[in-house]
Formats: sequence, structure tokens, C-alpha cells
Amino acid sequence: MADTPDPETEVLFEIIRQRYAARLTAEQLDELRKIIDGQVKAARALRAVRLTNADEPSQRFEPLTLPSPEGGRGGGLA
Amino acid sequence: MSAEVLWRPVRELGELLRSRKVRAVELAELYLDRLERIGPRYNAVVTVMRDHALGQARRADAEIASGRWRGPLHGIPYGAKDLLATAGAPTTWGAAPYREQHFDFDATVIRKLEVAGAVLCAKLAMIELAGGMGYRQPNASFTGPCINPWAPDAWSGGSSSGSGAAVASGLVPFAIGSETWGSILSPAGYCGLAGLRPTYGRVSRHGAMALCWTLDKLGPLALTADDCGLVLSAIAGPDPADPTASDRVYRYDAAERRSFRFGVLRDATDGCEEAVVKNFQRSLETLRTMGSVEEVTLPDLPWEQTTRIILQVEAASAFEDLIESGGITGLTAPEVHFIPYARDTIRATTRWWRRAA
Repeated sequence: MADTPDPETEVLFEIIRQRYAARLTAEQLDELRKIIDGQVKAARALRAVRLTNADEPSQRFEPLTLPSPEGGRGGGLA
Repeated sequence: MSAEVLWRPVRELGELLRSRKVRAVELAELYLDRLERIGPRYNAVVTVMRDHALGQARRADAEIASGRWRGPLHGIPYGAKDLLATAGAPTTWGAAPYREQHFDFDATVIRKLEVAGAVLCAKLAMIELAGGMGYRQPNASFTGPCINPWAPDAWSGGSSSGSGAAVASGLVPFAIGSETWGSILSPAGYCGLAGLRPTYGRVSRHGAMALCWTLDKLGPLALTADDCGLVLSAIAGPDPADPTASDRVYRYDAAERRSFRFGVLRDATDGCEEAVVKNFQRSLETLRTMGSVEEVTLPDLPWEQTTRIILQVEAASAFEDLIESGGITGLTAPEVHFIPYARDTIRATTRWWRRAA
């Protein structure tokens, strides 16, 4: 028996079908549906790890600062 | 020149050059001849840079003769994965749509190796766009599948396919590769070489094709780990043109005796073939002669899914124009003519999930 289609996969697949179906064969579309289903499952695995409001990203955001007229950093934001 | 110098480590070749027992021009001609004659057998080469190489070699000979020895890479031939910009040759990224692409500058790695006196002989084959579109088999480059010199019916690994095959078949003493997810270590492993995947930020990526800003690294493949250390010494360091390049100083001293602690993942060989497990155990025995080997575990987090999502979305961003225009149908591997479209559906909240990365 075939698996029940994942509703999230189907919604996302529809976006791809709308955008690119004219370029793709039926086989390629079917393969894309499987790939999107894998991406949905991978994203769920990520979201299953609970983060708190205080958890920082691994890569911190650091605004670029231009050199001040006297040299060194801190002259202004770019 | 005798072929006896082939497969000698860079350090030995460098000593032969420094003592003038071998001339850089002779060495370059030996390897250029092999690149032209044997390179096609392995689909390992995109462009042989004969005139450029001989010019650099002549300069090296003149400098060494005048007592200006730049170091162990002076006069040493090498090849670069064809994702590094070079002013004197096309930079194809291994992909047919970019076959005629030219840059008017050299990547920082190429420039640093020139300062070290190394001789650029060839741009080497690679998986198209460094594999970032999701290839599933070796025939994914306009130069064809790269052949493993140890087993002509096998692949050389990827995506630095030509860098691995060229060093293993004696076409160059060392090569530069890039790694986003295994692209240095895979061809090094497949071809029986030393590959050094540097810490992120250790080597400037200025002038290298961007595939994934969060994961891209550049590093050497060579016959020995010592050679990799010599090359990394030459290419590491800060670069104003690449804000991700680290300011931290890298020094390599082969004579330095360090006490290493090696961490080995508890389940590293789960699912592997018996022969692979045996070889892995033998490699651990070798590591134990250099330091302690400890079994380690990582926190239970979705490492692979996280890394894959980061790679997929950044690669899709880097090549957004090619994907949106349908230009991906010009690539060699038929599977990448449609796989990249799926990345449009990875949502922003997932894209920026970085905590476990």
C-alpha cells in the first residue's frame, strides 16, 4: 500500500509544479516530490531540537564597521 | 630528465632544486609532458598552462642560481582545481556553461603560491560546480568522469577529482582542492593520498568559486602529510579580500614533536564493509604511534540534516541565476537538470537554523 502523502510535502511540491512544470518531465516531477519529502523530514529533525529565546546562532551577526578618519575600526556602519 | 623524480615528496624535490641538482625548467617540462600525454587518460586535466609554467620555472631557476631561494616550494610544479581564478587561463568550474569564463586576476591561493615560488602547470578537472547541484554519479563534469589511477574502472572521488587523480598518477607533485562536504578528503582517500582539509577560515577563498559561504575551504592534496603542511604554510593567512580569512598565524614545523589527542567517533565504521573496518583499525594503530586515541561521541543532534540544508540553500543562492533561467540543463549530469528546483521549497526559518552547525 502506498504511503499517505505528507500534506506539507504536497503543498511545497505544488509550488515547484507551478513554477517549473513546463520544463520538467513526469519522471523528474515525481523525483522532485521525493526530494522535497526528504527535505521536509530533514527540516522536522532540525525543528525537533528545542531552542530557547536566548540560544545564539553559531555564527554571530557582526555589523561591518568602516575605519574611522583617525584609523582603526568603529567609524560607522556600512 | 629521469622519471626517478616522480612520486618524490615535495620536500625532497625542493632540496634537489635548492642544491641545483635539478632545474625548475626540467622539472616543469617533465610534469607538463605527463599532463599533456597521460592526463587525458584519467580525464584529470582541463587546461595545461605550458607557457605560464615555463615562465615561472625560468624565473625560479634564475632566482635560485642567484642565491634567492624562496623556500621548499620554490620551483615545484603544481595543479589547481579549476574553480580558482587564474588570469592566464579559463576558469571553468568544471561546468559546460562556464567553459569560456575568464577572470583578469589570480585567486589569493594562486598568488600566495607564486610568492612561494611554486610553478602552476595546470587547471585540474572537478565535478561541475563542485557538486553543489546534487550529482549522484561520477559523470558530472564536461571533462568526463575522472578515472582512479589505481583502478581504471573506478572513480577518483570528488569533487576535487582531477586534483586526486593528477597527484596519484604523477602529473603534479601536489594540487590544490576545495572542500565543502568531503571534496578534498574523498579524492585523497580514493587515490591513496594525503589530503588536508583546513579549518574554516585558515585559507583565503578570494577568487575561488563560491558554493557555500558557510562551509567552503581550500587545501592541498599531496603524497605525504608533510607536503600538505608545507603547502598549507604557503597558502594560509589573513587576506583583506576575504573577510572570513582568519588573522591567526599558522606555522608548520615538521621537526616539532607534539602530543596529539585523536578523537574517534564511536560509531564511525557502522555499516562499513569488513575490509574498510580493518583498514580503519590499522589507521588507528598508526595514529596511536603519534598520540592517544580516544573514543568520543557527539551530542545527539541532526548534524547531517543541518549541514545538508545549509549546503543546499547556499548553493541554490550562489547559482540562483543559473537555476532560475533553466541553465542547469547545460550541465553534464542529467540528475542536476532538475534536482536544484527542490531547494526553492526550503523555508527561511529552516535556512537560518544554525544552532547545531
